[in-house]
Amino acid sequence: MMKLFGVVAGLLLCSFAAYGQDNEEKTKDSDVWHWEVQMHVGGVYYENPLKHVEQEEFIDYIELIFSFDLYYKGFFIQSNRRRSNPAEIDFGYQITSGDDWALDVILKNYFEDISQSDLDDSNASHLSTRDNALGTALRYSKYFDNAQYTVEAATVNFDEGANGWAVESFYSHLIPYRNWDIYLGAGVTFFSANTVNYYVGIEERDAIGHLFAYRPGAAYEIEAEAHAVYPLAEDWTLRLGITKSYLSDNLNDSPIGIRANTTYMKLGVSYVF
Amino acid sequence: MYSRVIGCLGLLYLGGISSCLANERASPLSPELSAMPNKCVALRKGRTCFAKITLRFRVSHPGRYCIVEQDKKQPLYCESIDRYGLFAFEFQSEKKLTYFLVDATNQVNIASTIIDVAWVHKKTSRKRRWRIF
Repeated sequence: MMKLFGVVAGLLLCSFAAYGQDNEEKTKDSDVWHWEVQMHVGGVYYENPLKHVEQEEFIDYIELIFSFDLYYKGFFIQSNRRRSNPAEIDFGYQITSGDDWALDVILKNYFEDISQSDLDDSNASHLSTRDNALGTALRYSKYFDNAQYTVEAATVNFDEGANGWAVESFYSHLIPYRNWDIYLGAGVTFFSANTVNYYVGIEERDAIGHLFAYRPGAAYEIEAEAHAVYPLAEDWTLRLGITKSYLSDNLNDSPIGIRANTTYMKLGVSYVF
Repeated sequence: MYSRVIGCLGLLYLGGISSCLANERASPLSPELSAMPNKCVALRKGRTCFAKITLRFRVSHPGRYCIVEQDKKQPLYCESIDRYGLFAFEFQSEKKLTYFLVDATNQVNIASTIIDVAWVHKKTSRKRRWRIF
């Protein structure tokens, strides 16, 4: 938790330094609170990257998520509407921007945690759990008429002070078709050796039986996504989407048991407050 | 219409069923134009909203009548009708539009209805660079 406070404090200091350089026009816009809250309800099919972790209970297939978008004086909490999964939320500050680009500093999660339950399911109970990979990133966004490209360079903090890095880039193209918004996207994320070794590596001291010592080194993940939104009523939208993720061979060769590719599908409705 | 029904019920109570129905047949119906649905919902302001709309109309006298869209000279539809008519069409607009029922013989608007356009994401005052919506 102290690590999180440290990162947030750094973010605030950075933002105050940059805020003074904003022009007057932008200040007027940013002085106004902008917010939106949405509730997402629906069904979800999700393959966990860990091979032996499955959706088992009915509740595992139900999604109930609240997403928040909030902007004030350059600070933001931002759900990524161009992505299929509304649970992906970034905290950040916009350092500077032009008409068709922006530079932000953001705080986001780059790797899901591996809980004791996940390890138990993977027959690796004796391994220590892995924390979320919380990253502080510099994000550059380029806007086109119906598309957006982002690239993020992040320092990733995990395991009480250990660091790694990740570079994520994603291109999203919007196809407006009648009342539908259809988003097609693709991206690639590179993870440093430290990061990958922490999550799917096995130290010599932990190696037993099928869980041999393994240090995969740097790796990557490729994602492809299709996501669509349709207005059902003034406050309701229909959402459906599919995301396919492909992991590099050295990730899915881990003896912990990693899927070479995973699928995330969802069908649901959202209420816009 | 509601008042006519109430009136008829009142006469029925008094035993005048035949006179009630006769009066109803004799009184000319006022022209009406209604849309179903009467609202089109788009995701955000500025997007063209698409909807299949059915216009229902009623006239008081047989004749030739037209449906005309606001700010358009050419009618969308014209037909000779006795009393009731239906017209289905594809609504496409970024803003609400008024539709008129026009008596083709004298070019007089005799009824109108509005098809509204609403948005799910209404908070669009922000500039794009904030890219919240």
